[in-house]
Amino acid sequence: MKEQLVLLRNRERYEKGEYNPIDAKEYLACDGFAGLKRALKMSSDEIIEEVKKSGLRGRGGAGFPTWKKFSFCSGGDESVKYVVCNADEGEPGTNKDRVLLTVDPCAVFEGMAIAGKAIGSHFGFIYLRAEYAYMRPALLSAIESCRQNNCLGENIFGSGFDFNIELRMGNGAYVCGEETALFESMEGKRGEPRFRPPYPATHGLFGKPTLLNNVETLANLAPIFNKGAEWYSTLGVPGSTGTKLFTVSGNVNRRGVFELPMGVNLKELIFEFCGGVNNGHNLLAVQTGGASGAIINADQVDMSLDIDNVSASGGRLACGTIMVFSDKNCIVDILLNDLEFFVDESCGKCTPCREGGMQMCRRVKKIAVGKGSVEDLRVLDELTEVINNTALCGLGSSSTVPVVSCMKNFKSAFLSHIDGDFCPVCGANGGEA
Amino acid sequence: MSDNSFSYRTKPSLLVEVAKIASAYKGRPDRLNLVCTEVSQIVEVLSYDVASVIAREMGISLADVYNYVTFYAMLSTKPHGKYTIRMCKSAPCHVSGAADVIRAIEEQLGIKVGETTEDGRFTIEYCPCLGNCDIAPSILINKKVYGNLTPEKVKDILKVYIRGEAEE
Repeated sequence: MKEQLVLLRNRERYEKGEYNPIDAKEYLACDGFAGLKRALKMSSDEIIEEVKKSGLRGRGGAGFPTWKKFSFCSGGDESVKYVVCNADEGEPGTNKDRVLLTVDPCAVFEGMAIAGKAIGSHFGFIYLRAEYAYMRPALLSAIESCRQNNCLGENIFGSGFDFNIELRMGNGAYVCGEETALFESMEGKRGEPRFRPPYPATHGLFGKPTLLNNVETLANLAPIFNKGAEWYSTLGVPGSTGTKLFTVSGNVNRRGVFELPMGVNLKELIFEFCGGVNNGHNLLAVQTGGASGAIINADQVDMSLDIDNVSASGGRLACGTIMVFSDKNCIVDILLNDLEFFVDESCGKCTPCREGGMQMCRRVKKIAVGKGSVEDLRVLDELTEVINNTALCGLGSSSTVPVVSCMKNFKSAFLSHIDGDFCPVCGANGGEA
Repeated sequence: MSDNSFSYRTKPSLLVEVAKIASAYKGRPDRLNLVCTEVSQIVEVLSYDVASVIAREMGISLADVYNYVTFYAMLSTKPHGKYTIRMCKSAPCHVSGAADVIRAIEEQLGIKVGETTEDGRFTIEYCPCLGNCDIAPSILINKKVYGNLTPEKVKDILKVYIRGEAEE
């Protein structure tokens, strides 16, 4: 298994100090903005057709075909439209967007400008999460450098197309990664998701049609338009084309962000590419897709990592997060950590997520400390079903995914906690360590 | 405010700066996000004084400002120490020994998570994933990231801050 560097093509030079990512001239010197120059000569429909041919799907969570999102926003009579880059990377265990924006911010700007040209928008916003506030100065100077070199701003490369980018900061809320909550936050309100419809494609930021994409999705547009959709569609596997940034974290020997073609095998990724589980322990579980992803056991890791295959296993590939847990951990404790996260981060607008999340956490806690019963498992089943069906946004409904998958794949661990027969790592007091 | 564990006042000169930022967006409640971002570059905490200045200068109610500020984890209305230590609470750090690290920090500073030292220098907080999973367990001290921590390592780092040798 080898890294295939498409998005992180400049990472090695950056790490050696030979590449200054905030200088647009250096990005231009290595074929940067070639994709944008090509896109500027194309019509809106041609750009969308090219994205469709490439087979690019959203890299933020749902894996929605990018060209469809573009086509929802293009057309219409509205003269003001927005392109928003979602850099509110809150999913635990994910840092690909930080790496992308550090190594090659200009590639993200290029993607935004291409998206702007496709839907006829002249304003772009980057919503950066507060935890990455230390990256703000570098991003601001990168935007300024692009403007000075006519890569952004008015009349880009003499084409008559204007596109400006502004940086907006989040203030620390996981829920703001949800698109309508992000809009609310940018409008100076609490980051609470909106009811849909109306959809963002017609009624988004400031009530205008808005195209929101993940950092990685936008960064993919630059190579697609530079080297062509046909070349891009040969990468990865049919249905999930291109490369994917995987953030491998937890108890493995080699942690970090790696760019691999879609469809790599999870088992090989962990045991060969990342050197296996660290400190001589055995593999207990893997959680793909961050805190809201499915928890699978060691027997299930022989699977292909592409968007459809992971969805079929009950989880989601989402942002490419691979959290590896060794058998020095207790699985019930890990699930409890996930649920505590969701309780903290629930915005409180809808009852299923606010109250249901709390109840799920309470029941799992009860089981963890050995005071649970089989009745709790039944209630958890019921709760997850109700929350999944009725929560207002993705945060609420996906908070049930780890619970359902964990109870299914680690049933014996739950039962032994109920029996008071704790795993050795929990000790005599169960999860109360 | 009664729940202040020590007195905290924003310097009048800073309030003037805050007013300058906020007044540029008078009558634009949608820019509250931007104002809070810029204001938090110069003041650590959006205290009552700071919030009232923002509300007055932007022409919105104090409730609007608090409505926004209290929703977000990184904005605070309560006084913080000079250095805010944020410990990542998410799974990758959790399974890499975050509990030992936080215990070491608590021991070193003599306070619990959520508290501020009496001299007003340090606050410890939990926070969701910091996005430094490749160097878990990780903490953020103000805007500086530290990773691959062990109890011994974090004590050495804190010593630098306690002695006042840390770069501003």
